[in-house]
Amino acid sequence: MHTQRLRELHLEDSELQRRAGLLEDAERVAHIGSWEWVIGTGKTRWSDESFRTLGHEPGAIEPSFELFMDHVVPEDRAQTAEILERVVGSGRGETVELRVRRHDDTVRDLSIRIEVLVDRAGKAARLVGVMQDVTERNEILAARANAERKQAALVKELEEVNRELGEFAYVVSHDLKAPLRGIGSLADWIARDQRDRLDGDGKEQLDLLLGRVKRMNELIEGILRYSRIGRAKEEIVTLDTRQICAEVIDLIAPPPHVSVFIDGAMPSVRTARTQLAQVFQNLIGNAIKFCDKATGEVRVSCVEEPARYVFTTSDNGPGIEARHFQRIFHIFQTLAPRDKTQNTGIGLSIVKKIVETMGGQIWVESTVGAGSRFSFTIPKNAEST
Amino acid sequence: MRTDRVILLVEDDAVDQMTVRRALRELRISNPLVIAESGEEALAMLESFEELPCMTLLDINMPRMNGLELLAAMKADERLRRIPVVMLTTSTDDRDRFDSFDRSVAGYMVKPVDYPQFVELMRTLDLYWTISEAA
Repeated sequence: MHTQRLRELHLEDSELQRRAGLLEDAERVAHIGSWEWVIGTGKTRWSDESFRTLGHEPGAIEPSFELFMDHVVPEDRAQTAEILERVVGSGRGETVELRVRRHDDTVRDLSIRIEVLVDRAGKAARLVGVMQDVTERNEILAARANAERKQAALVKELEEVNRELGEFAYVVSHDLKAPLRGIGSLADWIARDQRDRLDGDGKEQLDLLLGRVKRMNELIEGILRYSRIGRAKEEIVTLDTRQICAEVIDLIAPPPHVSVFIDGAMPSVRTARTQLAQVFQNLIGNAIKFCDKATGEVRVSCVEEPARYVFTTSDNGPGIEARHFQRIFHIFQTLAPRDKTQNTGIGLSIVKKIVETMGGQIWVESTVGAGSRFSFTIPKNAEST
Repeated sequence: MRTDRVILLVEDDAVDQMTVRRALRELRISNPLVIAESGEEALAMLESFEELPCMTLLDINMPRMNGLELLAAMKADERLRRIPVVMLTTSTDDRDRFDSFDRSVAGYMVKPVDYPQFVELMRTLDLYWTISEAA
């Protein structure tokens, strides 16, 4: 009987030890130390992790309230004492952040949770709690705040650069176009006034010169149009895309050998009117312009997806090699020889910029000789221009 | 033009001056053309004219006092404010257009790159100011 009880006590004891060990492990891993302070006697207990948090070997020194306050950096002592007094007075727990100078002289940030245990009379008897070294967390928070500040500054800078770019485009329009117009006029007058004195070569050269003047003017106009996208805020309205397409086709007035069809249902979307019309006009216009078949066919259609509409313009034109799929959306990139088509290489870059400012994407699929399919998306909740 | 009074051109670019002169000649518009090369010069001329011009063609982009400033100065002057002013500019910028109409401009023409188009533009201007009464 006696032996039995001893064995039981021994088991209980080892269970307690096992639990204490677990708790100790947990504290060590989480870097959370626990502590206790009896208000009347000043008796203080620190867990091993609490010793380590303050830079001591566990048990190497007698813990006390005074010893703890010695560790708190002088600037934070008054506030710490004040909070402790308040907690004892009110009986309500609090969390305090303070800095301590550890035994090895390093300064660390601690977060200390204080709870109050009351005696039977309801009077504060003991303070218990945990202390955690939050130096790293604070560093991360500070770094994050710093990163956010930097990001905000970057966004501001970007807006500034964009604004400057707009100004630049404006200045370019004036300063480049004026001399260009002069060149054009002078060449035109020479061609007229000196008609009798110029031979065939001279006339041809002047014609080429005038052609180049026109091309350069178109390029400058294109840069202006490109830089204006997204600068002037256009009203967002609900638009019947079938009607927009019909109007655009009407405006383009396709030549007799090219037919343009609108296939199937076309949705209503909320976006900016002239911008959407411009996208359709460029895509349908390109399909017609580059048509190389006796009978051209251009089809516009739309597929509804959960979050967006996918509009597609397909043609039976010459098609585009896959290696050019990215390039054609860049400004000034044109695949046709420059003098053969009225093409500045700005149209698709404008389309891409519009689609992207509307929150969508644009891509092309194509088979050389068989035709191309240009698709772009409009998000269903598009509220940006 | 309805009258034979002078046309005042305010333009600092020699080729652009030549363009207007040539177009007027080509269209047989007989009103004398007077050219000022800056806003200040134009104002001084307008002060000295006994008979005001039947029309003023204004370039926007000029050094010192630009076309918009000259337009504002003319509209603020009781004697000059009724002269029809037509902006003749390279600027397609909305701001310039709005600023011009805010200051009661009579017309806003964007200079075309090629000369034949410019002649057409001047032909239309002439036609309009032949039909229209002026103050």
